[in-house]
Formats: sequence, structure tokens, C-alpha cells
Amino acid sequence: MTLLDLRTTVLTRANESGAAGYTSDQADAVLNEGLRLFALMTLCVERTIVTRLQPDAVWRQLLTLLPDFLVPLRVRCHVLQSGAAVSEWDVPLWDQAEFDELSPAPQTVMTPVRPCRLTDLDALSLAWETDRNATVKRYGCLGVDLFWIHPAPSAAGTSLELVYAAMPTALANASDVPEIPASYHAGLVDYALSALPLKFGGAELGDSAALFARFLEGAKTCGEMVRTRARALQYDRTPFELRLRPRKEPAKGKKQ
Amino acid sequence: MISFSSALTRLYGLLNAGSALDLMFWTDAELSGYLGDALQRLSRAGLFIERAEYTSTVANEGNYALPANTLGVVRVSVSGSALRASGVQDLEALSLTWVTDTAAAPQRFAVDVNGLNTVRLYPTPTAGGGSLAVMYRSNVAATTHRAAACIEDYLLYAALGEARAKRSDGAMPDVVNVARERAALIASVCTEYWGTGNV
Repeated sequence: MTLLDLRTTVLTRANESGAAGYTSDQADAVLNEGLRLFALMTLCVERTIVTRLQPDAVWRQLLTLLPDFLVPLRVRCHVLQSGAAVSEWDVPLWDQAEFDELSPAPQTVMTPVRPCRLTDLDALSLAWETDRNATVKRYGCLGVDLFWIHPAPSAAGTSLELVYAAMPTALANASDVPEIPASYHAGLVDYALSALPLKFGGAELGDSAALFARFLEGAKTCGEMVRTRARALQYDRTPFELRLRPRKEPAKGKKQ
Repeated sequence: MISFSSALTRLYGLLNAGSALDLMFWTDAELSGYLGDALQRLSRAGLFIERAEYTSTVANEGNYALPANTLGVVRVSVSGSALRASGVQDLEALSLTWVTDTAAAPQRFAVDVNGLNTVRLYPTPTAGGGSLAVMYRSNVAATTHRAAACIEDYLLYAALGEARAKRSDGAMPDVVNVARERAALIASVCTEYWGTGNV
């Protein structure tokens, strides 16, 4: 569904279009709000970037580089290496210039970078921040965007491939399509119809609680799907476990 | 990037006002105050972690002021070497003369020696010039800040809940309940992802 489809559906179902009711801008705003909440709860929007690492840079505020960053999912290190190939006799190839061999093409070696906590790194070495190596082995993230790597490269030539969960691009044009799976687009309409009555309150707001619950149910289903996929891909972060219902109290009179 | 001005514009709409001039039961400053309170609640949950290499160590000086907006210290390092977190009791157990102990490089830090805004390095460094870096939970007070857009949604709902809870003709208890529930939902997800539980 495009933004135009969603907006039309919302305004038609709200039956409040016109000067006295809800405007297209208000409908768009709540649709985008629902889109953000859905993506936040499910982590269903993924992006991949490859960024060159600055020498000696251990720390980075990721939101300055990636304004849509939510959480990291997987990190790989790309190191450009030349002449790394080895013959079957373990002799480095292209080591004898007198044979007029062609220079080996540089190869990008990709290695996984494992997640870790600050306390893990401090336990390894209190001076881990000063370690340097062309290949990054560990990374971590704290707060909304403080990101670190270990060891940091000492020279240029190392890149980091970051797969991350992202905030979806806001719907602005009539032809824009939400980035979440199409089968959950109807959930955005439910969210919008439950958020619009916040302006007026009353019975209309009370009636919309079921729509919000349906939106959350969709988010939960999608979250489970994303979580299963994330586990299969061995991502480092699984989506937030929705804890929408309080834990069930044991029935009275039953023995524990 | 989140901004109060954007959240305020959205809030006006939910309060049936086109702009600050149309507000009947609230002032613009009051609504900004609600947004600021909500942002501080998230700050206390540890969502905003900053790392500042903000000063150099001075020879024979053990006390250093923390950055002004520090809520809690997560980690301290000098010239890339992490210091172990300690308390006064640990230091006293370690050495009865800890106050006057000196060494070339400090090994521990404590934040309960000299008020809440000072970090004490132990032993006191005899050499200066080390780069003191503090990682800390930041109390965000600015009206714009680096954060995912969903945090602005949290601010919006938290402020709407407070505004509609004000004892006035604009009070709407049903809206208060819904707005607070939604703010709590977003806050719980954000805290799960970005809170400081996994230092």
C-alpha cells in the first residue's frame, strides 16, 4: 500500500475528514508514528553499510554517521590485503620478482567481528584501547549510539561492514511505500485510527483500544518472524521480547 | 535527531491548537517543561552515554571534576588504560594511606570521595599529561539531541499525558491513560535496547 492508499483508508474509516475533523497531514503523521513504533518493536528494517575506519579510532557516535541507526545486528571486518595467496606447498606466491610474475590482485579478506561488553574487554586487558591491528575482532555498543571496536586499525585500509536495524524512511510522498512487510501495512491503519482520537478523547478513543491491540498483535507476530530469522542468521541482537501482558497470577486456591 | 520544536508542533495538534498562540490551558514553557522532564527520565535510564576525553591529568592531583551533565560514571581511563571502579571502603582496605599514596599512573577511580561531581584517581599520579577519558550517563538538557526518531514519539506522548492531566478545563483522564501507556511502551522498548544494563 502506498501512503495515498493508507491515508485515504484512514480518513475514510475515521469518517472525520474535512475542516472539522482530521487532516491529511495528521493522518500522515500518525501513520509515520505507527511505522516507527512497528520498526522499533520488531527490528524488521535492516540495512547494510560498509564504512572505512579511521586509523586509531576506537570510539564512534554512530548516529552522526547513520541517522536511522537502531541497533547493530552483525559486523564484519574487511581488510584489503595484497599477495596473501599461498601455493599448495605453503610458499607465498609472487615472491620472486625475477620471474616477471604479475602482481597479485589485492584481496579483501572478510572476517566476522564478535560482540562484546566493555567489562569483557577490560577483563582481557585494561589497556585494550591502545591495542592496534589491521583486523578488528570485537565490537560493542552502549546507549543509543556509542560504538567501539577492538583492536582499532593503525593504518587506513580496514573497512567495517555493519548490518543494522534501522528506523524506516518516513513516508512523505503519496507514492511512498512503508518499508515494513506488506502484510502488516493494514496494521498501520489500525495504529492511525487508534492515535487520531487522542486529539478529542471520549468514546471514540475508548473504542480505538481494540485497534491498538490489533496493531500490537501484528507487531508481535512480525517480531517473532524477525527473531526466528535473526537466530537463523546468527545475528548478534534479537528483537525486543514484547512484554505487553502482565505475568499471569496463579488462580486463587491453587497450591503453588 | 530529536528536537523539542518538532515535538511541540505535533503536541499543539493533539491539544487542538494550531500554534502556541492557540493554547488555552497551557503555556509554551509549560509544554517544553513536560518534554524536558520526559527526556530526563530517559536520561536516568541510561540511554544517552557520552565519552569525553575532556582534560589532562596534573602531577600530584587526584581529584578531577566530572563533565557538568554527568548522571553516573560508567568507565574511566587514563591514556587508554581503564581504571578499576572502587569505593572509599575499597581504597581504605587497600591502603590506610590511600589519600597520600602516589604512583606514576593511577590504577583505580572512585566517585564517592568528594561529592557527586568529582572523580578521584588512585594512586594520585605523580606525572601529568595523561588524557583523562570518562564514559558517563549523560543528563540531556538540550532541546535537540542525537537519538532515534522514536524517542521523539516518547516525548510527545509523555508530554501529552502530563498536559491532559493538568487540573483545568483541558483535562482528559482517558487521554492521559492512553498517552501514558504508549509512552511507557516506547520507553520500555528503548530501555531494553539502549539502557545501561549490559555495560
